Amino acid sequence: MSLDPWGPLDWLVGKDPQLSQNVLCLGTLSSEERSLAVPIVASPIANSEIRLLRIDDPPSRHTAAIEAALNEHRNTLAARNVTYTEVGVNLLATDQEIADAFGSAVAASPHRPLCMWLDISSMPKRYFFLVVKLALASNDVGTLTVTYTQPVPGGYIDAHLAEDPDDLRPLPGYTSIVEPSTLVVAVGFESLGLPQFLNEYRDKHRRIVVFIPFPPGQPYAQRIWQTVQRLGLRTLGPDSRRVAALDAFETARQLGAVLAAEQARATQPETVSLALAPYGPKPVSLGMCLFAIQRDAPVFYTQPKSYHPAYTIGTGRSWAYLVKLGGNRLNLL
Amino acid sequence: MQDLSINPFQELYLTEALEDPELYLSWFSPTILTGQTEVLFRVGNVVLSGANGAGKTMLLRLFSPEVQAAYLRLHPDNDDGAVLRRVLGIGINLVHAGFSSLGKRALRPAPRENLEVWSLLLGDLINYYLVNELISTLRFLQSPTGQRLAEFLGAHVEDKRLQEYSRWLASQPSWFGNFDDIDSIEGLTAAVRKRLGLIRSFVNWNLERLPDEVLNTKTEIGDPLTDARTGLENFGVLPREIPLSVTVDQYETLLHIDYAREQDPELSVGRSFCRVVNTFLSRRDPSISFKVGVRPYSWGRELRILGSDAQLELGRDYQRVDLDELLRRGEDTSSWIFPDFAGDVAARRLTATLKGEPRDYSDWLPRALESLDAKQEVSKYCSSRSEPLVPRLGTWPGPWTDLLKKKYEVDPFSALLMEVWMLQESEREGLAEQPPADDATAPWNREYWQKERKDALLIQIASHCRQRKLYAGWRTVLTLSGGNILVFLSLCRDIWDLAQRAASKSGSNATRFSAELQSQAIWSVSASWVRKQEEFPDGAARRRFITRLGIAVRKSLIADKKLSYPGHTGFSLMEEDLDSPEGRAVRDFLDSAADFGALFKLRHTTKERDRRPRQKWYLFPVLCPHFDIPPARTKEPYYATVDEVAAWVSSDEPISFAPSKSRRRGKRPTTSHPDLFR
Repeated sequence: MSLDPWGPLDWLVGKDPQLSQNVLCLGTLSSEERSLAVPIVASPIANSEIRLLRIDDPPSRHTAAIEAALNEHRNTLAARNVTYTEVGVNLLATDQEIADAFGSAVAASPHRPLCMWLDISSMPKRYFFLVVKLALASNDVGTLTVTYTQPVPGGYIDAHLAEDPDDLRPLPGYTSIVEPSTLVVAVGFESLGLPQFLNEYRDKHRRIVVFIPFPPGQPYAQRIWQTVQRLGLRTLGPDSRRVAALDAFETARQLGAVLAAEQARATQPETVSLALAPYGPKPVSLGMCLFAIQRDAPVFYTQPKSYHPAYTIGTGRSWAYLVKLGGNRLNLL
Repeated sequence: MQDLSINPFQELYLTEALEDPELYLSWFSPTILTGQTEVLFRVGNVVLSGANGAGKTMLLRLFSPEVQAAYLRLHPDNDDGAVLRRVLGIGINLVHAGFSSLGKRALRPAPRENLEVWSLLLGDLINYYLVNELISTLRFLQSPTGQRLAEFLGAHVEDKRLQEYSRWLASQPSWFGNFDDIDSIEGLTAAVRKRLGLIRSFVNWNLERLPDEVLNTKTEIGDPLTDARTGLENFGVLPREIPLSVTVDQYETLLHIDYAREQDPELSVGRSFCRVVNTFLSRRDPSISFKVGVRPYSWGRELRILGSDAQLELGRDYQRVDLDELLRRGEDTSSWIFPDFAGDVAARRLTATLKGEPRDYSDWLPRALESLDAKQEVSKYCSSRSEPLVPRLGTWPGPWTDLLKKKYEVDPFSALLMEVWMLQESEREGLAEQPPADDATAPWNREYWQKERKDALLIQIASHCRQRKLYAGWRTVLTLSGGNILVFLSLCRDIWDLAQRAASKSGSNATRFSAELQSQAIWSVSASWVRKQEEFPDGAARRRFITRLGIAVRKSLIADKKLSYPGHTGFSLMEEDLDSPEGRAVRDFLDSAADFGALFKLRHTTKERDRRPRQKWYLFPVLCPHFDIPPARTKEPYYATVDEVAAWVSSDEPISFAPSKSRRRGKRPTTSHPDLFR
């Protein structure tokens, strides 16, 4: 029996002193209150560096509200004596710009090897997927702990969480030049852009497997089922799997199981490959990210160009996922 | 009696049947392969444009060797000849193949140099990708599944020949020495795939840098493919007369690669990548034909070829097939092919799914959908407890009141139409003392006068009776589809679903779909298409716009008791205003709304004296039932100004139509709208 290295942030970092030495906390300064939780925890740690990306959406009707929320959060951090560096970047930045943001954060830290806390609570997937990949490959990053803070229970707004999806594209760093044979979709509240994606894949030469986060925590079950229903996805049989909403490692393992099952039923197992579509909760997306890195799987997404300023309300529990320790990435599968 | 338990329209996409080639080909309607679309199969480059769901991918699929082979299995004699052509097809879907993520990792620090190197690398990547596809296709022709197709094409794909061919191809100078050591088809395949893998690894940040072996051996755009085609002929693999067709689907994905720089013609990666694909077309190699699938708005925004200011020329470098234009109803309905196409698609689905009688379903659905004439429609609205709309009898002079009263007793709808004419006439010249004879020559009975007002009046009657407008009948379903086969299938699917539920509740099997049932399904599909707008790029602003526009159209129709402006279900703008610097953002917004099925764009033959060219826009027909407005596009649209439409787009204020002479002249805009898309 083995235990997966994840749990509440305070519990996990208490397990090994390496996890709280030479900390570089790379997170976001966003309109969501929960983006402040991990920087606030990291701040009192001796020699810790905090770098917060302010990821600017293209101008939208929410721009003024977002700016107001950002100012409020700057004030909160100042009141809590959190010293940090704010770095402005664009939501639709190129891969190179995202990599540069990661590179300059690492370069700014004097510690080698450093212990990175990557807070993905409010970090868009197009950023954190690439950053996780780069951090795992970097010799400067000895330890990588990915953190995630939930909102308060019921803290997701009822309105659309995001709008204006971009065209379907691979996430930065996760492309494929060969068309994969099976698509795995993790569903969540928001199906924005997903229908057009599924239409691209409806061709039955490529199977669609759906990951349904369950239990999602009340009052969200109904909302997730609405998404599943709206998308016309199968919820019975081998094309549907339940994943725990917070357990990134289980998602990665389930993906491994899907791949094995697909290979077992294929006449040419070597031609089987998975494409991933992370539309579910962030920890499930992290699981997909880790699997994609390990198995070189492409990840597709329809990036919204605008997020609701009150995407979530309040700050709930913070979780941590240890994916690299002592310079070694942990074998998840 | 029909068994409704299996919905023939459940699967909306033809490609969903691809795993079952028999089903695919029994669903595919060759009716679409008429006239203009025939060009697609001729030698030469073709740009196939159409909005989402127009059927581009369906048509491009016909070049797929798997589909061709399946067709031959089902029709060994190829007796039809309409579907299967003697052509060897290979293809690339730019989205599925991940091309939309290229160009985002720097190869060089200076932006301009980086762009140049990336563009050349893209050309190289496409070369390798297509040669890889060609080799895979030759392997397919060797397989038992592809053997019949090989015979049909006159292809000779025995192993020895392909080995010789591969050795020759690898030795060509177009590879810049990269394949000098290769002496087999296996070696060539592995080397081509290694190259693709190296570029992918670089793009995915799995490599520190792109190896010099790639950068120093970049191939010229199109050269390897030309060599590959030449070799096929020289080694007797493929006869000279069999064209090689290369399908390139989802071209638009290239244009939108770098959102921030999209408008910059010199530094936009997307534009430069479009120029790479354009360069393939510009070679005009008679042995290789490119068939490019693209959304209409994305074609024509960048027509230059790489490294030159020369542009692709319509007619010379390519032909264009505009599916939207072809399938939607224009002013002249005699050449409208959509009814036959949709009818055939429906009949094929019914035949493939239903087991009972009749065997011929060609006319079954049009007959099964109950339709309503105006008289029947009015009786549906007024049959409830609400008070019917009646003419204002007391307000008219005696002889007119008498005629109106008499007419109302026989035919309430005609009487109400007559009263509309009276309202107009009393304002225009005043009513004559005596009404003319109520025969076919009476002005209120004129066919076109009635046609232009009938739908608007029905909306007013339904509204008065607190009923929703009913939409029913085969013609209505066709009109609401707007020439889009996906919309048509959605409507059929939901009508069938609802009938299925109703039948299971009542325990009977219907053979006719009532107007009420159809309307209920149509309202539901309409609402879902309005919501669907949000799924598309930049869809939130579009959904807000069409919602406010739909409400404005309805308000205007309900308020216009004289029905003087029944054409104000759409609006018209002058082309020169749209091309002005102030108008460009409005044009981009409206064109992209047309691409995503939010608006319907048509050329407008203006009745203004200046005769300046205009374009007109209407809500896409399937969206109209959601707003209880007619999808018909009769009478003159609202003459708007660019400034006015810019304000509609940028603000969240209600839209209102305010007819005035100055607006009809289409004044040039005086202010700009920097926050147009906020």
